[in-house]
Amino acid sequence: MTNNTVVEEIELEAWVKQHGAVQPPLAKHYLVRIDDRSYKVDDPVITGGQLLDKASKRPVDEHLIFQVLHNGQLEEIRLDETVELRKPGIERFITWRSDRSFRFVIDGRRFEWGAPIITGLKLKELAGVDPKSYGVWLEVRGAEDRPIADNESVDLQAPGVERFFTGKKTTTEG
Amino acid sequence: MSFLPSNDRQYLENRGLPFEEVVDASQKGVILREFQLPPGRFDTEQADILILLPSGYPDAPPDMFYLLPWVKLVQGAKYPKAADQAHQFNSQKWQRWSRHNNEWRPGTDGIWTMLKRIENALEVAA
Repeated sequence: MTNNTVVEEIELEAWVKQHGAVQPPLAKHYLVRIDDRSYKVDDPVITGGQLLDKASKRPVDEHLIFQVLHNGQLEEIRLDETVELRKPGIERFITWRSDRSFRFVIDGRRFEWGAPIITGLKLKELAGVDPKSYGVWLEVRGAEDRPIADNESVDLQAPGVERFFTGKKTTTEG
Repeated sequence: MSFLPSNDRQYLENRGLPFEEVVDASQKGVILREFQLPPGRFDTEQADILILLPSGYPDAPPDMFYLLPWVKLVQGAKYPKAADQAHQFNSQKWQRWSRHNNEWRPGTDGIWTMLKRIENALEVAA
């Protein structure tokens, strides 16, 4: 019976890429990506604190962990909050020390952000615009603005304060 | 004469776009010099772009934009849709691109938003 079959190991990110939003089968081990490395866990129900510990981000209470969804959503996992790794859509995690923050500006408003990266979708959320009809751009010194797709990440670690703006780019003729 | 809001000026300078502020009678306009057009689409690679600023700008939105020289689509050798009328400004006849979007956010939008609309209109011109 397939119900009783247990796969040896599943790499969660690769699974989602290959199968889309389908829950992976039970396995003895799961490979989960945290920052730039993969880590092996046995129990797919795990807390933010355990994930940080797995990635040797200690002391865990001096770190933050976010999950990055494929559509660009970026959600913080509290230390005592459990996530179900087999839930489709959880692609990877990013962590950073909680005493560091990054500054940027959207539409002239300044934000402090705990993470070294931010997605286009999150930027639109912070700006309070409809993500479907508005675009978001990063200003680039001496060059054209860089459009940021919803699921695209921007590295906030570059020197200087990143400046973003949102806008509707469509016009009608006539 | 300078009438551009400092945010607009800062944006254009940061991006490295040469611009001039020109007043012609009751009209105020920003001219972006030698703006690079999307490659391969038009019969010229670059053109000056004029944006007329209405009184009340930046709370009130700019409408339409203007090119000099006049450009034609490479494909079909014709003017793009709704871009065959002239507008007199600063002793020159500009090619009026009749393009509209009045969803303007006072206090948030600026020359950068208008430029996105222009870039998009040039990109999708047919």
